[in-house]
Amino acid sequence: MIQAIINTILQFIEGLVVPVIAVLPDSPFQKITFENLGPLSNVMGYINYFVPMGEILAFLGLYLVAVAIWYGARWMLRIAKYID
Amino acid sequence: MRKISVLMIIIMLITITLLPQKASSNVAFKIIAKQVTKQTKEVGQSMITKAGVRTSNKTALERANDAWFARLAREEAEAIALAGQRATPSGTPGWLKIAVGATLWATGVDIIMDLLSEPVEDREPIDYYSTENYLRNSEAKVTGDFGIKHQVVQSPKNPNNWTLLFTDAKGDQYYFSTFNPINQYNDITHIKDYDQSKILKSVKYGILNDETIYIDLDIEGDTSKDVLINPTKYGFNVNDIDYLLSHTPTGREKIWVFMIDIDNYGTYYHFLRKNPSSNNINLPVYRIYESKNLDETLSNVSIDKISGGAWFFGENDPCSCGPWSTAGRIYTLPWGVPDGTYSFTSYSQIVRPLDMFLTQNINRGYFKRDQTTNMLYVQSTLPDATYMPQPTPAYIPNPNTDIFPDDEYAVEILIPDPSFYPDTVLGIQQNANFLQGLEPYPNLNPIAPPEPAPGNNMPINIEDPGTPGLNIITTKFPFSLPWDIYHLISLLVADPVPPAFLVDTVYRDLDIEFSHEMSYLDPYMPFFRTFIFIVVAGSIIYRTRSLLGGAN
Repeated sequence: MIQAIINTILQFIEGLVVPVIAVLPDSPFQKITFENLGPLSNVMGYINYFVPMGEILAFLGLYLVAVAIWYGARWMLRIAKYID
Repeated sequence: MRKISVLMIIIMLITITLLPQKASSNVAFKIIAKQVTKQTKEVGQSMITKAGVRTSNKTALERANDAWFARLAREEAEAIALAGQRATPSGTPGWLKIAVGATLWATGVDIIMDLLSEPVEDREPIDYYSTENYLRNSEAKVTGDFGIKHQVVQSPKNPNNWTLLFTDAKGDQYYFSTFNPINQYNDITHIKDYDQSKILKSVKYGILNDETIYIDLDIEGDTSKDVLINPTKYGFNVNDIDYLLSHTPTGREKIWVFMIDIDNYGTYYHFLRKNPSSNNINLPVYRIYESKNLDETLSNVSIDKISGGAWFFGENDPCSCGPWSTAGRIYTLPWGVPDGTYSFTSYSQIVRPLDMFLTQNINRGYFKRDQTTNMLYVQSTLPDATYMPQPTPAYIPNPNTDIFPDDEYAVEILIPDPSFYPDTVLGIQQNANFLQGLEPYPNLNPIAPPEPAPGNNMPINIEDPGTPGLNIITTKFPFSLPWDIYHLISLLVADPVPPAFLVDTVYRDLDIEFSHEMSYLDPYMPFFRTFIFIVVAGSIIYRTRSLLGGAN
């Protein structure tokens, strides 16, 4: 019963928000693809031939998560006065 | 300490890069010159020993050989010194020129520039055949006919001399001019006053009724027009003409017609003929510029009535000179190919249809201009005896005879294999309910729902696609900025492609075209990428301490 009420409220909000958002322009950044880069279309392929961008970015993602967790832990430790 | 090491390495690199080439060239010069002298002396001694020279004569021969080889060594050494001088930046030595020169030298660009400039700028004049007696004494072999193919052949006596070897329809061969084969076209730089000219197109050659010889040249050059206007720059030497006409292919030729198409100027006709009233070959020369309106003049000229003197047609070619005051050179030396081994290096067109000018019967007649083709021709009074019927192809019976000769077109008859097609009638009968929509069609390959992950007791409803309505914010600006960032980052990740370079350009009239693919590195690149990844990870570890700050 509660679930149905919540779903109804959400659908009502969605019905209000979606038409407004649909008026907004499409993102120009997502139109950037390899195909419309022209002469540079193969450049990233060449770069990836030497530099493993995918692995490096995935590693950076994990690293940032770890850093965020560390900041959270540091905040907790500071609250506990374990560190300054 | 680390900065000092880096600074020393940079200073060393700059020193090595900016090392004056002349010093290195001088060192190389001395070493190579000494080695050349040593080798040439050894060769000389070996030659003397093998020749069995007597002791009394040995000293004199040794001295002669030493002198000769010493000169040879000096010449080679001078060449080396010249090479070293050329490798050094010209002009007043300055730090910029030295740096540029050293950079060119270090990168190898100077070698490429030398290779490119060599065939373009360092042309050397070559000899021609006119002084070759063995050519002058050769006998005529050409008996006439059309359909000439020409080949580029190399002189067996002088490798620097090349010529056009003509072969007529009967297989007889004869020469045309020599030329320098450096240019891709038929370069006639050997011809005096035609240094900048070259034969653009091909050379046609024809003999009509054993009386007229045609040579057609297309010439392009900066000085072509000037050469034409100034008659002293081009003409025929009387001695050459004497020889030319006394060595005609059949001995009965009367007229030589050189049709020279000058770029941006028109056609230049150079006529030679025998003097019918004299046994001495005293030839008039006719120059007719097609670009001029000479219809009336030409139509009134009977070539049989012209004798002696110089005849010029054209405003820019005044007849103020004697018959041979326009003495120049003719480098056409027919006929007959002397014995020797010829190396055929290229092959150009064979028989091609003759144009209207050549297909006219010009046994004798008058020059006129065809109103349709705007070409000069000779009005003939004789039937066209020069027509050469083309051989008809041999009849080859068709192995696939038509078994229905009366039909207008073929019809393909398909006989299907009964075993190939299923029995559709039975299938329809068995699936009548499905086909009529009375029953749902059985899904013979149902897609099994995915198994829930261990520990996940939430039911998976694959029928619910979610709420697609709110997903619109991922594409609408500015709410899409987080997804835009993700999209741009994802652009950095692409499938590895081995770099490939294709160079197709023209540098100093030379076509430079080559490609280079680096796919040969494929077996090694995974190791290299792993190394790069480790370096990046290590650098992040190195920077983490300063980034996060150490715990106190």
